[in-house]
Amino acid sequence: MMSKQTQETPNRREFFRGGARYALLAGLAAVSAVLLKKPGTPLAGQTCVNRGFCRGCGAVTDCGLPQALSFKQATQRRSS
Amino acid sequence: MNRLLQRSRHEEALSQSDGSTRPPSPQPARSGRGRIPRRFQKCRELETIVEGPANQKPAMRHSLSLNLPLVAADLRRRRGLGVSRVRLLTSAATALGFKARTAVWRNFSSRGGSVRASLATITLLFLLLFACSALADQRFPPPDFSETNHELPTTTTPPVRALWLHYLDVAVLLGAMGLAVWFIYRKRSRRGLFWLSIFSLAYFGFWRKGCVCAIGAPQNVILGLFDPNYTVPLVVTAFFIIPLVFALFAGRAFCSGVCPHGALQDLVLVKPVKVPAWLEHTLGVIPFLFLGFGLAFAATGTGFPICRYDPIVPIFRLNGPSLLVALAAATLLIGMFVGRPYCRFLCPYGALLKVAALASKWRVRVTPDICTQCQLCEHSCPFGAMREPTPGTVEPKLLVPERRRLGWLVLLVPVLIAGGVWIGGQLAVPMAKLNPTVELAERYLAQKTAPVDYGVMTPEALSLQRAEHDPEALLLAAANWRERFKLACLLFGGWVGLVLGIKLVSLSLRTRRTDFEPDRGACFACARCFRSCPQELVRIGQMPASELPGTGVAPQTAKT
Repeated sequence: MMSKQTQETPNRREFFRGGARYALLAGLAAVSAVLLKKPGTPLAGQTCVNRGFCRGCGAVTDCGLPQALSFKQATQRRSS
Repeated sequence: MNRLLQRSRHEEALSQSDGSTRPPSPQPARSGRGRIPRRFQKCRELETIVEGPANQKPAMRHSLSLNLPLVAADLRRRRGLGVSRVRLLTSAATALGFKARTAVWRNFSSRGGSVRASLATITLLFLLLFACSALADQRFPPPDFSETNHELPTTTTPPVRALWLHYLDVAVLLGAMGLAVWFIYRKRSRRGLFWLSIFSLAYFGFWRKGCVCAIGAPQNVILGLFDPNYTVPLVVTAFFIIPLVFALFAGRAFCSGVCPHGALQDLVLVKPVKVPAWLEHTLGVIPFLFLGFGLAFAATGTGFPICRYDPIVPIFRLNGPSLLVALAAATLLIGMFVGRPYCRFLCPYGALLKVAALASKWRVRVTPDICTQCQLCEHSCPFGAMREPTPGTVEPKLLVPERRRLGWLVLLVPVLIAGGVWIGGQLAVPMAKLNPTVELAERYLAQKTAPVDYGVMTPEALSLQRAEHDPEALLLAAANWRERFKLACLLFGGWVGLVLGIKLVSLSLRTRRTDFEPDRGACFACARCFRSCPQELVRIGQMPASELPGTGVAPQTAKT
């Protein structure tokens, strides 16, 4: 028996598969939107560029990330 | 060896039954280890029987690839073989004909074995070379050198990586993903995928030291969703999303050409053995459980266990705790005989990709055009992803108990989830001790009720001393952590129940396949199976189309 390897014929299984695909895609889009729209997370400049290490980071003075803010507080407290 | 001996004895017996001595037939190229693969043995036997007289009767040899029943009749009539023997031989060669099989076999044996062995040897030697530095274990907290006045070197932090380099990582990921899809679906090129995976191994593995990687990214994402104070870097979000989006359309292209973990395991694969189905199914659940554990743990904010216990990353970093280095060595050793053991039986991101690939728009096809069910691709997948065609119709009598069982299993799923939630709730307290704050608080309370004399200043004693400064804050923080762990354990328990339930249901589902085809979820899209298909060999010009069935005559096989 031979069968031509063309595109999947539309059937019930393919319909559900398509539905699942776009549902997952919508889920991923929602997760991305939530993560990118978090306060203090504009697209560029406010994402951590140094794997969470504030010490020695060149961007820490202008950084508004929560870790950086607490780092700056701690270092100010120590210096005063 | 025994098989070869048996075969030669059998051929001798056949020649005696002929009453004549056959001229030696041309020997097809043997594989590097001098053995004929089992799936080709019957085919070779048939070839030996027919090719002898075919020297005198070329028409007979030609007809073999066109009309197998004719060959069977001829074998019975001229060779005097019994019906069962002829049936056994001809069943091995389908309507495709053994010539095509032999061509595929030659294609296998001309490459493969020796190349794989050399690649594996080079990789292992390279890794052994750096094993010494990998065994240098860091101690935390650092040892106390106050008596010897030894000055500890100051802690240095890595220099800041420029922002554009992070965007470059995303661009490389996107480019590599695009190339992988192109190699799989348009070029159908294993070689292209191989070199792409080598590039990914060098870039994402050894140069970027396995970080940033998609495998650990789900932990950042879940922590970002649960913890309002945690910001997920944009690059990590991209590494989490991009391979999944590709998987929703093109299957596990990330695993085949972009993941450095997979590339390294592919390099050491020498002689893949088939994992029994029951073991494959059982171990296949582990990645989902590990994913659940990793996400639950990360959601509490305690740590990232998927990254912490990754057995491949110490190889990329050429450094790591001794236990993990040993685990890495064990993974590579197992990987010599079991294809991609980490990807199949542990990788949590692979579990996500598997789910996404089940809903993928396109799927990997062994054949570029038509499937003749020659079964040559049956053993071509070293990862056990090839699935057989299912029988066309099933007796309704058989369906009734199957449907009943499926119904019971579907009803069992919520029970398993509820059971998992209950067990998770029971485990919340002991699991919370994995958090250092909770552990310190418990030790602090125990010290109050039954004091322990630590003697010399150990890290434990030091931490207890610090806890004395503000015990209320410590206990409050520990209570908060415990609450988080309670929620995480409930969710994890439910997840375990759900995974087990879905696995049981999926085992009871009847799938319909008309051809040999890779399983959507299990297929890594590595393109290894392509060359096992005679149609593919014709497409790339390694076999003349005239050797395929349905060429010229035999229109009865050309039904589509």
